[in-house]
Amino acid sequence: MTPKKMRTGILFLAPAMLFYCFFVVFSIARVIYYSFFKWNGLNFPQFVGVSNYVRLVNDQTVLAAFRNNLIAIAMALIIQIGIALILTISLSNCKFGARFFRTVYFVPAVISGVAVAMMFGQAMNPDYGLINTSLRLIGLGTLARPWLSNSNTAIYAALLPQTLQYIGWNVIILVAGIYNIPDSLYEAAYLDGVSNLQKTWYITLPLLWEVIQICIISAITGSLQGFTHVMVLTGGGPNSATELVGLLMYHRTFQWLQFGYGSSISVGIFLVGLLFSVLFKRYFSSDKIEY
Amino acid sequence: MENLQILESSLFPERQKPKHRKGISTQIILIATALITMMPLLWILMGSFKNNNELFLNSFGIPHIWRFENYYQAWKNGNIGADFFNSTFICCVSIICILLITSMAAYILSRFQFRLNFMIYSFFLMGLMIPWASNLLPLFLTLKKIGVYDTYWALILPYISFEIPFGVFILTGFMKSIPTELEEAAVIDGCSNWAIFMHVIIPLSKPVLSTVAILTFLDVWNEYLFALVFLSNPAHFTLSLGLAAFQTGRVQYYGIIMAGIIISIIPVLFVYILLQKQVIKGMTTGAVKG
Repeated sequence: MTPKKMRTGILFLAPAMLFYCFFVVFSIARVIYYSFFKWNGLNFPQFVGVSNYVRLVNDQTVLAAFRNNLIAIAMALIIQIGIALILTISLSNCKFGARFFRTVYFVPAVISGVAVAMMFGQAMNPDYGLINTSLRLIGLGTLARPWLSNSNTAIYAALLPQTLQYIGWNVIILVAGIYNIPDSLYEAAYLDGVSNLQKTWYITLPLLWEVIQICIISAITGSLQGFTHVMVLTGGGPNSATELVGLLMYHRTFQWLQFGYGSSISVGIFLVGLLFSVLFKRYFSSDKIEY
Repeated sequence: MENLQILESSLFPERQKPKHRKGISTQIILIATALITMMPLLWILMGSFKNNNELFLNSFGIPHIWRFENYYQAWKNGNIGADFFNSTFICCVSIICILLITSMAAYILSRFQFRLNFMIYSFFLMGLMIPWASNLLPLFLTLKKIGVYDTYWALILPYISFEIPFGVFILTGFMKSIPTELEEAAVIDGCSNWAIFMHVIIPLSKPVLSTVAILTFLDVWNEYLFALVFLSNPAHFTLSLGLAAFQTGRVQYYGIIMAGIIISIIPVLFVYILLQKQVIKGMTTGAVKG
């Protein structure tokens, strides 16, 4: 390693290193650090050990918000990945226009969360929104209601945009996974006379499982960190009915000015996400299927 | 598949062929889903030309009067025009900086073989796991301290920093595949390291550079959380922020809100239609191996 090479190396790496360390690494370290303090941004921070975390696990609002996040995870796993799987398998049996359909399904994923949330907000408008007028049109007008202000339906309505928006993203990944399954397996199955359904259940799904795992983990971490859609639609909802942990972190930090507590919520979100991923990998991840 | 069927029917003429329908039901599901996906978009598009009355009376149909002034109102009074400019500026600067910074780092990480290199590479990659939202408070405090709060740089600097892990990941992987013979030839011709970088590496990396650029564009253009916290003057708002702020306006002219939505998604749709393959590749890279 000549000194000149060394100097070039350092020079070229320096900007990335500086930005990354200063804004990313240093920041995450500070969040962890602040979570052990009590601070409102004005006075001096007070060291309080783990009391923020103790408060966190006993806080009813946090637990209610976390319950909403779990609903988000359930919706993501069942609706988002479920529909994505159905679409992917349909695409693999598609006669023509597969590429066109893929293009269309991916469109929502590239649009901003704010735009999608607002589109749904408009569609759920009790008076002229797409959903209610459609219901009235087909005679189910009694089902029409203010989806976002009714505390029973609010959380499901508020989570709908973020659940549906990324179906296309999952489809693309799953399609790539299906592409890797060799045709010879299907041909052998055809010779044995299996039906389409058996084909799917015994060949496609097991071999797609690794890719499905990726979708599941993304869905879980995404649902834990969800913020934009619900914030734009309800800001926490009628009486905290649609509060999420991400929103709560924002509210506690920037509205209640409880920097330490907010930081502990941030760390909590990160750790829970990590925990779910690790647990999922341990209990549901099997060895690669050989064929 | 056809050959197999012909072979089979000639060898075993009495055997029952299984019902192997690539059925019409599949196509129906796909078409229906495509329509459902596009429907809200079309509805908003139609609605953006209507006024409040028409929205209430004629929710579904094509507007009777095409009120283009909704767009003008959104652009001017709704401040969408200024937001558009802010977003564009922030995007462009962020993309240029990110491409430069990460390609420089990736060049070094993909070339020189020493153990420290691998450690640095892993160090950068760790950042992929860190959620952006976790760093809200420290970033807020830092940006205030260095005096860039509520300016363009309040967003540009974090955007650059958080895209670094992804950029390094993609670019290093690609640059490793650039054969060193090219550089050796350049060295023999007397090129300095910088010249090699600019005239050999960068031109060859154009495809991956565009992938990184597109992904950065999408991340930055659509970003909401940082913009929400790091900006306060409405004149500095980005498109996401301005659009969201629309909702809480004094009097609700829904057609104008819809026009704002359409304006905000046009650039993204434009990029997507033109560069579909790259967009999809950028957003799903690393998710599936092989």
